[in-house]
Amino acid sequence: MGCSTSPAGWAIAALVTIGLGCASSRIPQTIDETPAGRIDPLPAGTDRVVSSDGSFSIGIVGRAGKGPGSALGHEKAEFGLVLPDEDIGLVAYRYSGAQTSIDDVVHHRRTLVRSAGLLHFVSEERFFLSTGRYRAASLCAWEGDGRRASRYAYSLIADTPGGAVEILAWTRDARGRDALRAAVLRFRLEVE
Amino acid sequence: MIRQGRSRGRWIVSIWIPCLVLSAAAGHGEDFDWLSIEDGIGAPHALESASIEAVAGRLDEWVDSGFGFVEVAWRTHVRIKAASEVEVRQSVVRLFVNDAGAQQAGTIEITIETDRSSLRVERAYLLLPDGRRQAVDPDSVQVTDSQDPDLFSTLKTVSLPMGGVVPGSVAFVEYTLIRRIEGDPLPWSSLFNMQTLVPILSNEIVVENEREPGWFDWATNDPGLECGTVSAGRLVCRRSEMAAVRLDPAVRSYLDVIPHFVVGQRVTWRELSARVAGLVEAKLDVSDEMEKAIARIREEFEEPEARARELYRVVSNQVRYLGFEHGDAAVVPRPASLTWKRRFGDCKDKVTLFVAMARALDLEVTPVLTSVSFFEPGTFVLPAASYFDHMIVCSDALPRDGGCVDVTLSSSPPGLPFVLQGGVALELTRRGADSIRPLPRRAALWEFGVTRDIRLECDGGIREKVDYRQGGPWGETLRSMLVQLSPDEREQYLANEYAQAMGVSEQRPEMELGGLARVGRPWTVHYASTRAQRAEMKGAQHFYDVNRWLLAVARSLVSENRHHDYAFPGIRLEAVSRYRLCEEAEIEYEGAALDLASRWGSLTRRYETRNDEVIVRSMLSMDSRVVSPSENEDLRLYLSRSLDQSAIQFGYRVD
Repeated sequence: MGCSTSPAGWAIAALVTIGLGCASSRIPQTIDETPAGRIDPLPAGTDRVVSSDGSFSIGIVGRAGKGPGSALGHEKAEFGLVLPDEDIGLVAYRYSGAQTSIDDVVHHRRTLVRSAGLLHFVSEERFFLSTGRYRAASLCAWEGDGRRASRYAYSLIADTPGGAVEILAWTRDARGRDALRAAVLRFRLEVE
Repeated sequence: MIRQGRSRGRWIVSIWIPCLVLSAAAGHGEDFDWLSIEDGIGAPHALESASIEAVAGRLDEWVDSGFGFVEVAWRTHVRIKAASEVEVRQSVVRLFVNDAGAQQAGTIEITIETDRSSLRVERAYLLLPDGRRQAVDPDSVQVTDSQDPDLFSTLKTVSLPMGGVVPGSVAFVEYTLIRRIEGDPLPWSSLFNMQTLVPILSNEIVVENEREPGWFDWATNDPGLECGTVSAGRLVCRRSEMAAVRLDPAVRSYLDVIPHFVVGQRVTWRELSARVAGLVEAKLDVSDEMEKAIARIREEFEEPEARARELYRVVSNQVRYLGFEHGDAAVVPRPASLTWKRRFGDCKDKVTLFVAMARALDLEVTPVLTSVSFFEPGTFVLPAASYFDHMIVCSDALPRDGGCVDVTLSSSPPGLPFVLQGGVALELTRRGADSIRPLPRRAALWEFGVTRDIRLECDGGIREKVDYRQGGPWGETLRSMLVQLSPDEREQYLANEYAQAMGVSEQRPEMELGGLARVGRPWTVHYASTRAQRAEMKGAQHFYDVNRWLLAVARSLVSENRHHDYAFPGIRLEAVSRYRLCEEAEIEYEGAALDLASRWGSLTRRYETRNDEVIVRSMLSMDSRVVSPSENEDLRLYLSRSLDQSAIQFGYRVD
């Protein structure tokens, strides 16, 4: 796997475009393990952020989370990263409305994906996070359809006291699909 | 078989057996030779001045407390007489705080078994706020029989009505129960509860033993009761203010919760077990008529388990529950042959019959004492018969049924009823059992299956059929209840269940109840209705639905208890929802698979798509256990957050 350009136009639900640097190829296991060693909050509406050491950069087209037809007007991207040398991307959102449920976010995401028409929904599973007391999470799997195969995405949406949090991750490498899923699942969200 | 009596606000447990009376006879106090009311019942009680002093200035405190009355003093003097009698003199001093309290507790009730006991009322008067004393009119004293229609007994209730009760007045009652214990089939014992529904300002229990030293023993589980021997053969226990018992929605028995003092003839569990076993063993005769039934079972059933189950069916269904429990018959079973001839008997009679026939069939069976009043082994602080009020039978020949059966049940599969699951057992053997033990408890006491067939029509109409089935000990309890209702009452029950599950129902569904007579198999209910809700049948759509039966059943499992443990019944709930879509619709995606696991159990779900059908299979699996108030919040949180994720969703498209 070499460096590749960001999948502009692909961007799950047309929300995010990714600019790439070159750095570690390891999939992060936790937020603390991100290449920069820290996560800088990403103000909503920021067009592009480049990390201070140049290890990653993120571009966001338009106002984060303001997808077409969205019923969720308060979502905000808090951090994101792309691992250079690999076509892997990850971005997190916090849906600030405390009443926003997992059902709301899953439905919202599914609607956006459907409108983009680039991926199809594969499956969803719900479980409790290993942290917190019975905080539910949803893991949705998506795949590129037909001509645009070899695109795989996972969306982990977790219920938190302050509202739902979503971690969206994707790859083009079919071999990395399971690892990506495992990585997403291993994210420890300190929700309580 | 051992019964508790209650003098209002105060529990007294003694050794009678539950019996019933079909007609509630009543009479006045002077009509009975076991009852005497002394002439001086209006004379000042020895506690009068001390009681007035104790409540002086505190009335205002209680007016706002919410209690209609307060127990100012309880005094119990147990005198174990050399002449094989036990006298229990009791005094109750009761302050009426408001008119509601007068209504609730203006009549003092005393329960007595009249075959071996007599009652002498020594004081019964009301001290009015202006200092006048108003004695209870002896002509107004009423004696009534037990109201239990399936038990004929010598158990009576004596009611002493206070006249002219006004807020601030104080009732003084003193009476003595005298019990002859010579020849008593069981060792004498008595329980005294230390707590009631209102505060008790002071409590004193004195035990005086005139028999040989060491004849009696005592124990308490009230850490606030201070006891000491003040002289040879004299025990004095005192307790200062005791708060009212806290109430919760789900308490299996408040007798498990309320601390008590127990006193009785000193015995070991082994001795008590052997003694009651002897009562049963003495009545295990087998008549020619019984032989015929035994021969049939032997011929038709070969395996021990099949024979034991058939014997259970015969004894539980062909011998109805009815007790003649006069005097010692409250604890002594009748000969098995007589019970078979009469085709009725109470728990001990039916157990004795079962044991006699089982042994003739070479089955190993053991009669077992248990209780439907006390369920926690920790409550049994002294070997005493007073804790027990029921008898069942256990056998290794009934492994699939948990090993123990209650033969007083009819139209029920073998096994223990809901109320006895995890209760307390004392096995009755010739050599005696060393100690009590817990009865088995099934992993889940409620089995609930619900199948929903939902049709989404091309015009958007939604028709739904629901079939549910219930089993397990709780399902059997409901079956017993339903069998006894009239057809109209059953229909109303089904309508209420539907309305409760679905919210306010817009229309009465078609309803059908089935399987009540099929013992050992779940009974069923069928509902059919058309929903007011409509489905969009154009373009891409997302269908969202809630299995309200899952929610209603799951929520009914938990209690709001804040003070006391409760028995969480556990459940195996299997729900299948089958959505059949109009042929023009194409299913696009399925909803979330669920795997919501915790220490309490799990809620799992899987989707399956077949042509124009979406089938959703859910399983809620939670084991029965005792839940403490500190754990209850966690249990509720688990269920709440699991159910929050339980909406059924799928996508479809109609082009």
